[in-house]
Amino acid sequence: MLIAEQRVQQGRARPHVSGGGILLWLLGLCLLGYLLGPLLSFLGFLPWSQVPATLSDPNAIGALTTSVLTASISTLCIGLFGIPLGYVLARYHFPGKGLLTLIIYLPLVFPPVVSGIMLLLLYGPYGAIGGPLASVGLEVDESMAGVIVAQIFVSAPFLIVAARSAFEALDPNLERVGMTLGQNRWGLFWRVSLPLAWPGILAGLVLAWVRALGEFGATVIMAYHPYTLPVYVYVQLTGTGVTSALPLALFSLGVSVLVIGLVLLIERRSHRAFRILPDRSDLRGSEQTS
Amino acid sequence: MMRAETSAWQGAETIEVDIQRRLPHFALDIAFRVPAGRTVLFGPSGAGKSLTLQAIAGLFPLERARISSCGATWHDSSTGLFVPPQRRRVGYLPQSYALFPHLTVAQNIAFGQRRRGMAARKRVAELILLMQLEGLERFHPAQLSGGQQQRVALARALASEPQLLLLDEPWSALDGPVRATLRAEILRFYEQVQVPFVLVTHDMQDAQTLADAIVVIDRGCVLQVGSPQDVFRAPRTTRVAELVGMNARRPGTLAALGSVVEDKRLATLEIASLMLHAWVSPASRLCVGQTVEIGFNTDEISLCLLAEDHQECSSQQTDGLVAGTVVREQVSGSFSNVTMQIAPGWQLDIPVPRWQHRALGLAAGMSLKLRIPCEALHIFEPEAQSAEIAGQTCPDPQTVKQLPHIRYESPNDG
Repeated sequence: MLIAEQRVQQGRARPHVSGGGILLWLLGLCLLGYLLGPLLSFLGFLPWSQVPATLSDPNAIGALTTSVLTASISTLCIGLFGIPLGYVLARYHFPGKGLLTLIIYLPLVFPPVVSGIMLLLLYGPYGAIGGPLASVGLEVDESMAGVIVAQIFVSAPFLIVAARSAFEALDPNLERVGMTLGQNRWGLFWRVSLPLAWPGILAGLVLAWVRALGEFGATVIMAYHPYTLPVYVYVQLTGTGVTSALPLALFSLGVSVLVIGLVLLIERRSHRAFRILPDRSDLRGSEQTS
Repeated sequence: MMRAETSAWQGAETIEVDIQRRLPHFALDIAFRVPAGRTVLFGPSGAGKSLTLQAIAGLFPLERARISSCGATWHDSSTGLFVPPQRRRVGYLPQSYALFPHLTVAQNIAFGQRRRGMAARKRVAELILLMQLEGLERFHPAQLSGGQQQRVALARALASEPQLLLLDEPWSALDGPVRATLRAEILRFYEQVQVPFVLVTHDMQDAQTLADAIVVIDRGCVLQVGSPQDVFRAPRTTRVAELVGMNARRPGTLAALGSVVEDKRLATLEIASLMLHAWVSPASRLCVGQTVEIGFNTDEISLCLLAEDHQECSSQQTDGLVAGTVVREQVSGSFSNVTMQIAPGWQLDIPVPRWQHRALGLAAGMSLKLRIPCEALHIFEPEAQSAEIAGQTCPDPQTVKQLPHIRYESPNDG
């Protein structure tokens, strides 16, 4: 009912704006302007005439494909293992939980280059895991696998944190009722908690995917080849200069916006049934008759 | 109504709870045994009622426990028996019902189905008919009114064929008129399906309307177990009296004790130099000359004009007739709350129906006669009182279980 009222009011009356409200607006707009500035100047500097040529360059398309493919595989892996981890952290209490939480945040604290070095020490040709794998012909570094290893490391925290808070935000009574109705933990996870926490988890997955797509520091150490888009932008910048790097940035921007927009659209449609609630007042009548 | 013996409701038809759990700032130590029927756990917020309910469902870990319902033992820490919530066959309705918001009405009801295939679909259809939810099968819970949500929650619980329903302040988030409707609906539902329930509430009206047996819980302890009549008219201690809203209390001296007639005994009390009568239990260990605390059921007290003679005003010899002056009056719903000065330093608030208020021409300063029958007075047993004052954490569970206050109508009562 409230939503409906607000909608009606929007047409007729404007909310009263106070001095404090204006100040809050101004503060917010300052940051927004700061964020928008580089983007606008980037579009201004962009050599538009070169855009079609750069985008049809097979190297650029290859780099983009590598990026999208590896980021997607990384996100799948993160989801497969990260959603259960988020659930466990939200539902169970155990000694050392605080320490574990700290470890999850570590990849966010390290400079990505440092993360890359640490990964290389473990997964590189002389690493404890990379060595044996290399001896059977599976080289992690300088391969797609290396890119994925780097991407998972830096972007997993986004999903774990999002999934954990999404599960924690659920009414604990839902699972309690589910238990009395005969469901065990596994059933509750699939039938109650996962569907209800899904919007929050999806937001975490999108964040993780975007982070993986833009990942540069750890990737460049772990797997310089095959080029991902960020690495290719860097290579172009250092090799031929800004003019050839800028169209690639546009490419990356476009793909990100497209994918995120699509995911959010699908999400909104699929959850309209219970998330965007219809006006309850039009159901009152039906109750009185029943 | 006969006073049923404790043994009359032992065995298969009882719910027995004896649980302990120590938390950092709270200790739960609850013991009671009630007939399986309409049980209300009554007490202030934070008393441990909801935890007790979760413990019955098997959802709250306990240090020591013995829980059984209708002959089935669900938890016995002495033998290590613990039946998980999935296999207890309880229908749990928490605050605001916790319907699954992502499922439709029909899917919610089918969630706890124990049957499969056609039988399952048939059962869901039956429950939808039973709970008058036709036409709402495809709706989501957020689209339903409070009453419809309650019916869906009851249907969902029934689908799992429960032996016991557990309701945790189901309508605490709703306002007055809706609460009354839903309360009536629960009663009708109980008549229809006859599944015993345990309901948690802090609302006096819920407790009075819904209960066969009330368990009064405060600070993790059971203070009294009894029928609504017992708990509300004869609270065991002054703390229970506070909780059930018996606010008029005063000390007095036991002046005389009559002989036992049927199952009661007439006591004469001297309160602020007035002589009044009260019934006491034959088992009471009160002695003449003892100072006792007395509570007043003020709704048993009536007012009449000074001019009316004794016969007109009262037919009972045991009624106390006391003169008093109206100090002030306050309208409260369909009653007027009339404050009467009946002795120096002693005022009583008496609820007077509007029609009587008008008939008597009540006004401040007016002098009236108060008719105070035996039923208006309740003597708090000093032993129960002293146990409470001594700060004993919980009354001994055995005493609570064997309390003679519990009066139940058993089917063979004439």
